[in-house]
Parts: sequence; structure tokens; C-alpha cells
Amino acid sequence: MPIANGNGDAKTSYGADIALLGSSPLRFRFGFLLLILIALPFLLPSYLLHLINIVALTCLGALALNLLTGYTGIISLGHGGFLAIGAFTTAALVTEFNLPFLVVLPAAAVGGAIAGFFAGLPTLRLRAGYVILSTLAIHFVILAFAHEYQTRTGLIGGFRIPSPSIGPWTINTDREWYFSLLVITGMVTLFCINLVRSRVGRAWMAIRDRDIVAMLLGVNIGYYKLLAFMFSSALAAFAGCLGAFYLGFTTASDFTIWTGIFYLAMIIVGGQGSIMGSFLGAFLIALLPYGLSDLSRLLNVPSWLQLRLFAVQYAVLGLLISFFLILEPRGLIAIWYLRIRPYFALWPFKHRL
Amino acid sequence: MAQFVFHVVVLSSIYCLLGAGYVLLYRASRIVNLAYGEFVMLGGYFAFTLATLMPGQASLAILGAFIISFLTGGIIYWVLMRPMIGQPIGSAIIVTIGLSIAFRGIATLIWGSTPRYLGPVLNIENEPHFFPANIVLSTLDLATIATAIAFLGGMILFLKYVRVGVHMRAVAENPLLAAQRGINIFWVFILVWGISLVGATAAGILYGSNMKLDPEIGLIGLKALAVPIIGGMDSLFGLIPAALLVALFEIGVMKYLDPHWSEVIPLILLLFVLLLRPWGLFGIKEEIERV
Repeated sequence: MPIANGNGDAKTSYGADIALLGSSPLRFRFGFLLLILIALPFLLPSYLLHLINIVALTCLGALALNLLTGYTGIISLGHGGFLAIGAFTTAALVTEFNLPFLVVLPAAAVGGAIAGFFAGLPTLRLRAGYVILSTLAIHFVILAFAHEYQTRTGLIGGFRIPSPSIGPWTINTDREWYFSLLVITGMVTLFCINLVRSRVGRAWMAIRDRDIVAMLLGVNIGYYKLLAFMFSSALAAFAGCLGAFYLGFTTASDFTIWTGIFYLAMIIVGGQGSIMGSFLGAFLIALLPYGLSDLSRLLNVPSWLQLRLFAVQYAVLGLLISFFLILEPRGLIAIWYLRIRPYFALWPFKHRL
Repeated sequence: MAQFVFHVVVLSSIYCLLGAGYVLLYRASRIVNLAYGEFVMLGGYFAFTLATLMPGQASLAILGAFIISFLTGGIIYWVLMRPMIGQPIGSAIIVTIGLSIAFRGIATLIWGSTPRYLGPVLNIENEPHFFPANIVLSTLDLATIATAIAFLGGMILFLKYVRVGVHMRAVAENPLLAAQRGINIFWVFILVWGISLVGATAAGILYGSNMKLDPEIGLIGLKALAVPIIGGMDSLFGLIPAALLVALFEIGVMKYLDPHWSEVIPLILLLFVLLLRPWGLFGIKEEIERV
């Protein structure tokens, strides 16, 4: 006898309870989304496809930061450094040893995990404010090493990275990149969704919500904090590696402290502690510079402002961060789930009985 | 050698000045103001704009910059930081990060990214002064040392003897209790933000006339963060040895090893202190929240 819950759907087995697509409307919507995603590259021009690829890469980075900041509650400003580790592991392995793509990609992730382990060590004994400072310092230390490596190799302008090839197949065009990134992002997202609802993810959230209680519940705080750092930086380095391959070029001056702040802005705007939120934030903030430049052309703003659009972007981002934290710290995803959706679900009434 | 020592002293005075702003704010509200470097930049630009508006009246322009930055500090506290009461400290710190990136953008929009030089605008004649033992210090070097001593000494005396200063210490100790004893903690916070930004402006004017003024100089604030951490975030006195230590390492590395790494040395020191002694050399051990 199935037991109906409030929503009217019944779960009769553990399998049904943990299924991600447990009902037919969900399966239908997911199928529809998949259809759109597959059809997209055949409908869009190459420029928009390029933008989508950049958004996908940014999504990976934002997911990585959300594991650390959104789920574990460790605010990190060192994200640019971890991305740089991925890019520079790639540059080193490709230019010096000429290794294939399929070796470099996991190697970058492992490099990121190792860096994350060491970056996590000083933060083990600290809480909020001081952790931010240590991740800030870590960013600068990593970047100093990157600059040093770049000067040592004599490639001041940066490293050229050839298109990746898997066996006989070389990923070259935007469309090929789109499908590769679609598969990779999909797999990483699935991994993250399952990670945050497994034992590890629940331990992280327990630490975020109240670390002393987490400790009393038997969560080994140090172990799980280090694990969060390692997962997050491994994923960030993975994204950095893919980004370096996609752009075909990498240089240390691409990764500034502002990179880390951009990623932080994404998860604050999108929603901390939410996979969907990372996607939303990454989508908005990765497209912000392009949107601004289109808008400025549309509005015919004076040329001195056109040249300083990046400054407008910085100002907008900073104000977005501040105002979201003051007015809606849970981000856009909370606005959707807690305000917009209930409004339409209850319409024409204002309140649930 | 003696010249080397004085270089260290000059650099450490600017670090003291910057560190005092961090410590004041941290003591009062437990917030590390990561936008501090941007306030240094803004203070420099305020003085620059006022000095170009009324040429020949440098001291008036500097005074005006102090007043504007004091008001800016109060307004920022009232509009942006006060709503963060009751939120986690981490969120409040991220708000200051948001401010830093916003101010960097706004400063680029208003003043452009070409470097400006405060020295000629303020009519400061940066002459070398010769001292015994072959020591050469410029006027601005001397001004830097004097300002740091005046600001730090003034703050220590202010907190110790002036009534409002004692209120500040009370709020730093326990805001709730202070409020219940009749201290208007909002005014105290406004005052703290204002004074902290005045310190930033002083540093900005000195830095801007000694070197240059552009939207990127805000990064000096992050570098200077090492000083209060090493000295202990809640200790004004600890700033002095910490600043000397950081400046010694920085100039030593610049001179004898690699100029490129000297930029990172303060942050490496910061990491070591956080790893081994997170409450700093002179901070109170129980002060810092630990897991």
C-alpha cells in the first residue's frame, strides 16, 4: 500500500526516494531540456556558441566554489589561485612533456587537490574572518609561483596550448567544444548533486550551520574541511585546465584577486549552497561584460564610457554583492523558490491557509 | 646599512598607519575591512580633486579630504554595515569586498586609470635632507614617519583618556553591555569608521604624493593586512613591532633576493602566523574564534 505524502506522490522503495528524476513531469522536463541543449548548437551562430562555452566553463568554477563556500561555509577568496593551478599544470605538462589531453586533465585535478590540501591547513583552526584572510594570502602566494614559473621559462607573454585531442579526434570547432563541455558539465553536475546529498555533503552542511553541533554529532571537522578544500580546488583546477585548453592560451596575469571575487559574486548572486544557484550566478555574471557592451552600443553611450566598460562592470558587481548580502543573502534561487513560485502557486490568494 | 634601517622605518610607518585603520575597525566590530586599500586610494583622489579645485591651498585641500572621508566612513557604516548586524561576520566581510570592487570601478570611472601625481598638485617640495652617517631622507619620508607616530600615538591616548575613546573600548569589549549602559553604539561605530577612513586618507595622501595615484593602488591595503594579523588584530601597540618585522623582510628580500617576491613576503608571513599563532604576537588568545 503506497503512502501518499502531501504532494500526492508516493515513494514505495528507497530507490524511488533517492531518484533524481522520480516523477514523470520531471522526466518530461529533463528530456525537453536535453533536447534543447542538443539542438542549440545547430540553431545558434558561432559567436553565441562561444559565449555558451564560456558560461559552461564558468559554471564549473562556480560549482567548485559553491562546494567550499556555499556548502561548507568556508568563504574563499583564493579561487583565482586554484583556477591558475589548473591552467599552469596544463601549461607545464603540455609545453614541457607534451602529454595528451586525457592525461593532463586528471593531472590538473590532482594538482589542484594537493594545493587545496595545503591551502586548507592554515584554515583548520580558524573561523570566518581569519579564513578569508588566509585564502586571500594563498591566492597571492600561488600567483607569485605562477609568475615565477612564467618568467623562468621566458614566456612573458604566456603559454600557447594546442587544441586537445582524444585519440584521432581533435576538439577544434565551437560545436565540438560545446558537446564536450556539455558532457563534462553534465557529469560534474551529477557528481556534485550526489556528493552534496551523500554523507560528505551532509557533513559539510552540518559544519556550515553550526560547527560545534557537527562535532558533537560525530563529524570530524578537520577531515571534512580539508576534504571540502580538496574537492573544491580539484574541481577548480579541472575548470582551469579546460579553460586553458579552450582559450588555447594562458598567462598568469589572467588570474587576479578579482577573478576570485567574480566567482564569489556568482555564488552570492545565484545562491549559496545550491547547485542550480551556481549555474544561475555563473550565467548572469559571465555574460555581464558582454551584456554591458551590447547595452552600451544600443544606448549610444559616449566613447569615454565605452572604453571604461570594465569599470562599470566592477562597480555593478560590487554593488550586486553588497545588495544581495544585505537584502537577500540566499540569492536568486531563494527569490525564485520562496517568492516567485509560491506567488504563482497560490494566486489569486496571498497566503497559504 | 643605516640607510637600509631608515628605509625599513619609513615603510613600517606607512604600514602602521594602514594597520591602525584595520585594528580600530576590528576592535569595534570584529569586521576586517577588506575595502581599506580602496579607501586609501579614494582618500588620495579626494585630496587630488580638492587641490585641483582650489589651487595653492594645499592644507585646506588636505583638511577637506579628511572631512569628506570621515563623512564617507559614517555613511558607509550607516547604509551598508548597520543592516549586517546579526548576520554572520563572514557576510559582513564579503560586503566590504563588494565595496572594494565597486569603489575600484567607480574610481576608474571618475578619475580614469592614468596615474595621477599628488606631489605637484599639493605643492609639496620633496627635498632630500642629509643626516649624519650618510642617511638621506626626503621631506615626505619624514612626513610619513611623523604622521604614523602622530596617528598611532593619538589613537592610543584618545582611547585611554578621552571619554568617547573609553566608550569605544567599552563597545569593543562587549557591544551589548555597552549599549545597555547608555552608550550610543551606533555613534561610536560611525566615529570608528570615520576615524579609520581618516587614517586611510592620510596614508593615501602620503602614498599618492610619494609615488602615484591610480585605481590599482588599493592592493597595498591587502598587503598591509599582514601587519595587524602579525601584531594581533586587537592590539594597537602590536602594530609597531609587526610593521617593523614586515618592512624588514620586505625590504631585505627586495634588496638581497628578488624584487618580485618582496610583494608577496608580507602575505607569506601572514600565512605562517595564521598557521602557528593565529591570534598574533600581541593579540589576546581567547579573542579569536577557533574551531
